[in-house]
Amino acid sequence: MAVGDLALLVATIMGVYSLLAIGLNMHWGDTGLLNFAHAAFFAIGAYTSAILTTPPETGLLANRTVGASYPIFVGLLAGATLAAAAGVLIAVTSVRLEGDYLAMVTLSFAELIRLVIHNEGWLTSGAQSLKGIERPLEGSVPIRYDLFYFLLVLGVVAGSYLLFRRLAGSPFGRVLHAVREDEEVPLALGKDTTWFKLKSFGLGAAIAGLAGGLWAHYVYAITPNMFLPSLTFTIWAAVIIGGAGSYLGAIVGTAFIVGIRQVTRFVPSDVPFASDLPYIRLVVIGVLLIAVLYYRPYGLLGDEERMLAGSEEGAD
Amino acid sequence: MTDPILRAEGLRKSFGGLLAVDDATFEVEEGTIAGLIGPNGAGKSTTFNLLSGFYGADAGEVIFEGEHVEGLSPDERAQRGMIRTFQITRELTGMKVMANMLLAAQDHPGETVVGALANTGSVESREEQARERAEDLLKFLELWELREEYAGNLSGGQRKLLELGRALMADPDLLLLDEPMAGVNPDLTDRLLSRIDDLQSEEGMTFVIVEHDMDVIMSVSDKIIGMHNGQVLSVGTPEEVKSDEKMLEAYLGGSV
Repeated sequence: MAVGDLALLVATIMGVYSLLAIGLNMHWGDTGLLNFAHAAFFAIGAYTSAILTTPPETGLLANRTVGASYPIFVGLLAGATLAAAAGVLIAVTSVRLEGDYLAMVTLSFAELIRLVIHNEGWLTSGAQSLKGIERPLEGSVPIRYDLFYFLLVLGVVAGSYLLFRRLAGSPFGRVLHAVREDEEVPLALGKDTTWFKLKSFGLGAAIAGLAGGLWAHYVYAITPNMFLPSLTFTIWAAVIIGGAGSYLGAIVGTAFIVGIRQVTRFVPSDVPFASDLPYIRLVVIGVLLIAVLYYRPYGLLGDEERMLAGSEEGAD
Repeated sequence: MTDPILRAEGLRKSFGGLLAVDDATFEVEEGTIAGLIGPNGAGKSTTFNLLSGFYGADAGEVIFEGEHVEGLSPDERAQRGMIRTFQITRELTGMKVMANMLLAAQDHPGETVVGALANTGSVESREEQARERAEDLLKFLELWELREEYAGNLSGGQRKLLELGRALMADPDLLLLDEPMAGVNPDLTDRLLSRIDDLQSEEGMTFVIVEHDMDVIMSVSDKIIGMHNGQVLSVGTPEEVKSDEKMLEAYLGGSV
């Protein structure tokens, strides 16, 4: 693989994961919701779009009997919509739960979704992986396809960034921030805080669903193992390192995490301890995480002043 | 005296074996200031929570502006014009003073997703209007210089003022103030009281105030509601309640 190909691949992954981080930043950074179901919203978007755009399997080993050949943008839209619906559904049932309890419910919801995908082969191909997912405009773009797809993802990231930042800076975002700080205050001022939390959940899940669609149409084949809880934790790490509450931080944090993960994969195999590289990589990632959080507890682009406000240090 | 804006009828709330509010009945007339007094544990804060909907009553009715509101959630009661403050200040530490104030603006079209994204003229003009009102209030409360400061960095007294300002931002018909003067310096207390007086006489705003400073509450209130052990013990003018034997015993620890 040429270095250019590699860079485009890594950059595209960064882009897709950045969308996840943007969604999670709306949940956690803006609204203070402990959402651990992000991988599920990603999976719902990916599978919805893949199923709607890929006809059923044929042949002896055919497993999946459901499929269609809608245009890809329909699939992407439906994926985002269904992910948003799932987000609102889980929020309706559990958003009244405080902090840790919400985390537990959302985490188990995500695992439930993944296991359904794994086991319902007629719909999702299950563990065999859903293959042959079409790529948008493949063969009809005048530039290298990888570059085209990266630019497509980049465009979506840029658009989402502007959209979510605008939401966060609006009166709507102000209510979300108030919910994050102390939910009873906006409640006492006449804001239907449950409704605002549902909206936050839906919006963040929608963008995660869109990311899932973009992922599915990039990688040809998807399997349930792409949507493990560890993905959710990776995105959490990205948001925290970037600085919760900052959308640019979410993107930078994602680039940071994905960068370490992917770049260290391509260290040449003739260096000392090369056979232990996978483990050394995890060690390096862990050390870097600790270092960032030790020196910048508010994240790379987080608002230090805000984090300290009201705490012992902030009060001088 | 005019019609009651607020009427509590047989309010009751128990926590486990503790009967915090026991059959509380009282009225607050529109455009007046009512002082809610009583020793610690009398049930004043629980009564506030029952009136504002933060606790659901075990029994009883709350009638606000002629309508039953006991079945409504706190935000629905607030939207109808009943705004409360908290005894322990609940400033939004990670939000700036100005944002704390603007949050309280009612009927803001920019608080919907579509409104926020479209940012139409009506959103902007509502925001501008809210900013002007916030500026007036912050200047009055001597917090204007701190408008871009995070609320978490204010002193205790300043937080009390911010909370009062935020409540006034919501333009309430009835304001429930839970110990608004605690921790505020005496000079500013006087100014606050005269502001409350103005709001009452000029804008017809109604207040229910919990306050431990007897001189303050007796001088500012039209009516005093005295509570003890969850019950309304005495209702009347400040003079009447001051000379009520039952209230004296309650405060001095006598058996009732």
